[in-house]
Amino acid sequence: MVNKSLEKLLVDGKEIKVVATHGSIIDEKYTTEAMKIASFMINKLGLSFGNVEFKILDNEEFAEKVALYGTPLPTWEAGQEKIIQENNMKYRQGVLYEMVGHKFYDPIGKEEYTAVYINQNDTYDEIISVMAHVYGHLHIEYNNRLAKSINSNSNKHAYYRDRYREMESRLDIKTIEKMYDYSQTLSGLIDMFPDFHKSKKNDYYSKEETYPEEDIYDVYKFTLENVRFNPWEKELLEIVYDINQLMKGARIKIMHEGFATFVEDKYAEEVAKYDIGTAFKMRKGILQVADVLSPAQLPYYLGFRLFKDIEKRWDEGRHGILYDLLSEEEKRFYMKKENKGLSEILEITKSYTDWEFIFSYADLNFFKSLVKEIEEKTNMMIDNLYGGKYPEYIIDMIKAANAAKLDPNILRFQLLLETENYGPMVYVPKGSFKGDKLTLRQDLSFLKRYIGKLSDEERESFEEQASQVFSLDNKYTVASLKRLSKMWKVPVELQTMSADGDPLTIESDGFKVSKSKDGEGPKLDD
Amino acid sequence: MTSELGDAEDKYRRKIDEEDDLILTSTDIRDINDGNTVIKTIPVKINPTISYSGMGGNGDGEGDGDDGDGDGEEGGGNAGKGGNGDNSKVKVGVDKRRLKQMMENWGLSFSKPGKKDKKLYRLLTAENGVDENQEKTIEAMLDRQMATGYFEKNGFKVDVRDEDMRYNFIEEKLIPNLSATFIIMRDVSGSMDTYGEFSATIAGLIEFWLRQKYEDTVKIRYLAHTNEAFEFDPRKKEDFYKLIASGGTSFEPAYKLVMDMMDGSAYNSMSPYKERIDYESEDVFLLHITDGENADDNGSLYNTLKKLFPRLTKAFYLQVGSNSDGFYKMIKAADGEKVNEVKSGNDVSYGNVKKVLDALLN
Repeated sequence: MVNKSLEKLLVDGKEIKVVATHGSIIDEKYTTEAMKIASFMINKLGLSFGNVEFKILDNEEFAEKVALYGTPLPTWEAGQEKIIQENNMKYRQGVLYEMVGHKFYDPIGKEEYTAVYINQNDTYDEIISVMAHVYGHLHIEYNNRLAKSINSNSNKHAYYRDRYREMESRLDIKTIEKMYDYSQTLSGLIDMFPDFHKSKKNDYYSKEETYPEEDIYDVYKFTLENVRFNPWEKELLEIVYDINQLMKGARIKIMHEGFATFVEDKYAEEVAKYDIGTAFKMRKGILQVADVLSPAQLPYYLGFRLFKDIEKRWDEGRHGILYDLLSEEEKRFYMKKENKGLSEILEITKSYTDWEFIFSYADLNFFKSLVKEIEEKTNMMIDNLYGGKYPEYIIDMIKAANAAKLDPNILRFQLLLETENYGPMVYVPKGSFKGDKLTLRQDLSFLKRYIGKLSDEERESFEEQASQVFSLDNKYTVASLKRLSKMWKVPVELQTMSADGDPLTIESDGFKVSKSKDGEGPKLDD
Repeated sequence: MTSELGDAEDKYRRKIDEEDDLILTSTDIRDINDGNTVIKTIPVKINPTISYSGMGGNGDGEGDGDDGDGDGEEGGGNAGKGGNGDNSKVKVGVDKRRLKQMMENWGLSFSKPGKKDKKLYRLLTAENGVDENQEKTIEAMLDRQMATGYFEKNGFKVDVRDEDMRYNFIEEKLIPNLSATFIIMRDVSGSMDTYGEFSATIAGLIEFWLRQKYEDTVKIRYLAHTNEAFEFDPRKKEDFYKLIASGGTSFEPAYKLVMDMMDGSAYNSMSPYKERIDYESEDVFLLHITDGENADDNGSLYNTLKKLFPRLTKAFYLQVGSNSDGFYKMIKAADGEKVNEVKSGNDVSYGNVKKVLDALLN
């Protein structure tokens, strides 16, 4: 009824529904806009996704949805998250414009929708931008292999909430909270990279009795299987385990944000054809998030730039082995109109993760231009900060010192490192568990890949840096070990290294903590 | 909209209270007593996970402290869904309601009634009695006539029957007294120099406690003493706890001054308001903060206390520092039931504050 004037939205021959709601009322203005944008995304860019409901919410509702996304159980952590989000919106710091929620099932229309939350305090241009941006996210949610495997569902979470409340009503809240806190500590030990580890299984005919039979990277699951819990404890742990599978989504963060910003930018180009004012504001918004050099904005910044770069290279045919063989001179004048940029990008979004994405597409040239850009920006910042206050040659010295720190090689390497390293990788070594002590060992074998490519001098300084960064000797680890030991009811030891790079073993029996220099230290070799 | 989070926020607040993250200074407490909301910033609570030392120590799933990203900016934070850097803080507003909740979580009760009850009279009507109420009787007669259809047939006609008779009935109800005076008596001798913040915190919280009990009709009187006593100007209450005067310390003038305030006699005052404390109709609370160093220890002080204490609802004696407890014992002997006394160090930490309040108020 609302959108008779518009064509039906067909994705792979199947009609999809797009609707914007304000409470229980359909917002006709934004529904029309959302349909228009969806039509552009599907027909011009070739995106595909399912039914969408844009829910326009006020600050408090929005904060609640954000809190529920990360921590779906009604715990103190969710309460804290809600207060943080609400304050952020109230004081306009780090405002969230949108959030893609879980899929939910509409019992009346008998269809599955994805909920997208939009803040009602956003302006018209922001909402248009946000909608365009969200379709990018939805495309990845519906098409990426990893995103599909995470499989989140709001109805499931509602059920978990009910179970949690029931536990609270039957047992003491403090008891439940304690167990919940323990489970959150365990959540750091979920295996994020099941595809990375080389499995070393026992020979089938071997009579050797070892437990575990192979290196166990999912310590959470190992705990669930080997510790005798009360039924309710076990259920709570399983619930939290299931919820925290969402963390795996961090592996496609750069692609997620990068692609969403990329399609948003594409739509801004389209809008510019008939409404230059709105397009200008949209562009400004994109630059605000994707042109800021801060760690928090890195996924937007890097992903967006990389997708733009890929589009250009594949449109102009500047890729492939033959192109690489050309000399610099030839490369500059090379031009072969292929227009394959978009299709290449859609291919990437289907199956890649961030690591693969950066590893295969961000070459040295890309990082060189990135470094140049960062240098220019930092110089501008230095000029703003010190210009006029200090003599020229001092400012030049600061600039030179900053530029020296920027090396395209190192930048690339740091980024790759970050994309496969969201937290420490810890495993239970094969054959280490005999019932009286749980042994955990840090795995740093992924560093080997990078060390091989460095010169001796660089390698030394890298190892020095790495031991400072990757050492696990801190109060959080100690507190976690205490909790783990209380849960396992046996001492727990962790083999890691000290900040100087020496092997270090931290052991806790739940109350006391001891540190010793023996032990093998972290695993460095496959 | 039904809340899916339910009481998650309350659970978080309870956790803050239990772990004493929210520390209110005496200034905050004064602001809350004045009816303002104080915004406090407290660190984000995280469940510890095994985490890298070099990455800020927040290994909480999505939150990743990025380290060394080449451009020299400090790491921390994640603008995406849910995650927070380890530097982030939570802003929590504290108002009267919240402070009451906090104090209740500490185990303090607000429900204890005051000493004196007020009599409240209400005029009601009843069908039996001695004092006839003609107005109500006519009303009842008319009601009856209307209901039975008599009025429609005959029109208005005075026809009072026995069942129409109404009588005055005076209901007498005792309600807790809703106004109180809180006398804060502070030893301002040189040796009290370091106890200002602590005294202000305790006095502020007791004031808050009384304001909650008496629904904000609490009059505060500030009284300072060395070896002579005077009433302090309440308009300058900010400076009351910074007040230091030279001279010896003696308690008798101070307690004498309270007596004078109650009797309406002339007394030494810096305050423009010279209101008599009406101890007969309202509750009177007295808080005496001192380090216990008392010069006079004679019988006349004891007699003053003996006269004064029956007029008080409750006296709180807070002895900071570690001087002799001669007076501590005397005040106990004068009226054991009326006095709550505690000896405490100068520890502003919440553990101590809670202990002191628990001893004084419960």
